[in-house]
Amino acid sequence: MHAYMIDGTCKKRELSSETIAAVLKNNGWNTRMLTVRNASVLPCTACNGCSERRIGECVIQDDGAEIAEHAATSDLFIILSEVTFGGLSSLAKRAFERTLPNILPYFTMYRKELHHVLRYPRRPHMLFLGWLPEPDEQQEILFHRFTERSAVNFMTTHKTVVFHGCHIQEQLEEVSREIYQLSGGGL
Amino acid sequence: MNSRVLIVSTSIRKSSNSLAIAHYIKARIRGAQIMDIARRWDMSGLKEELGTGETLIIVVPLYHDTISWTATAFLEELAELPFPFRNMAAIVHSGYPEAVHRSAAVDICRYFAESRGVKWLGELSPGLTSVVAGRPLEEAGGLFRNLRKALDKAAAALERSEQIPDKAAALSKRSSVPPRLLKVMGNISFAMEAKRKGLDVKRQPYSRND
Repeated sequence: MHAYMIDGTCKKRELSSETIAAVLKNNGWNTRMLTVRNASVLPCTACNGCSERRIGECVIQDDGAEIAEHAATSDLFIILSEVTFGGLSSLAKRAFERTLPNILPYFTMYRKELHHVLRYPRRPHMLFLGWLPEPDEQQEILFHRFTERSAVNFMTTHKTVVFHGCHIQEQLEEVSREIYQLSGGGL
Repeated sequence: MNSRVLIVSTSIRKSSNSLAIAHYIKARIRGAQIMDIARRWDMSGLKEELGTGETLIIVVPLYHDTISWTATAFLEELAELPFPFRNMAAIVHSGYPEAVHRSAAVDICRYFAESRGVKWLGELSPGLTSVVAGRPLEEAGGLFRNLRKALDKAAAALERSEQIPDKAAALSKRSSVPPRLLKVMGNISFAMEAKRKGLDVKRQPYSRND
């Protein structure tokens, strides 16, 4: 099973993409990571190149060009980010927006809402891992709402965990359980 | 840039719909100015450019049902500064007619303001804005009558540093085209355009055969 992780945190923390990757490895996942702060990931400029020039592919040739491919081919798509005003950090958001090639211009109704048709019928489960230095109920509620909306947009299942600087270990166990279940252990 | 009211257009595109909205509202608020951060990758140096003033209005396009990367980067940089305005308001817009797509983004902007101790003057949340296609809103036709009325009412309130009236907020959310109709119209239009350009729009370069 193939996991793809975007690490959109602005600096390495106790909860790092390496820690998560180790949990995944113990459960039989092969993980590829993109640490945005160490990579060249330009923002999507909504140039429409992916719907006209190189259909389904990003025309920006940098480290972010692989994101659309892994969003299409992985079994688990993970975004790790500081919770920023209840949403993603700008680094994580910049990378996340590079999934645009996987969205068609056509519309469909999904859950009684208008949405764009997705390019691929097969979609990975999404795992959103947010980090906050300390509990902040308002931001956590917002983060859960935003991630729920993202999963609806990608017409897939998801799980969201918000980590606090002081309770990393307990929450990592929660993520481990989730990954174990996704690996077939709890199913 | 010291201005009583500063309108920041946070679309990454030049000649964007965010900028069209910004221009419309600027024309209705005395002393308002626009800052356009299109194609700006680096937000440092904002302090000098923002100056100080009464009200900051942020115009935000939606990407993946939340605020755009550009808007996030702008707010992150702004959060590092002593907030240079007393009030803040947001106009969060997207092509989807339904306001549910924009509600989390609106709340992120509101949270930002309130967490900085800034008075939140409210929001407009118009849909269908992809149809504006960067044109001046005055020329965008009857589909945007509700949006123009909402902006007129909001501008009158924001000029006086008052709360955007609930009526204006509600009006901005009211779409002139029902989602199912937009789906049919949009799909016909996209299919015709793809045929005309000879595009294989549904190509799947990364399809997995399992």
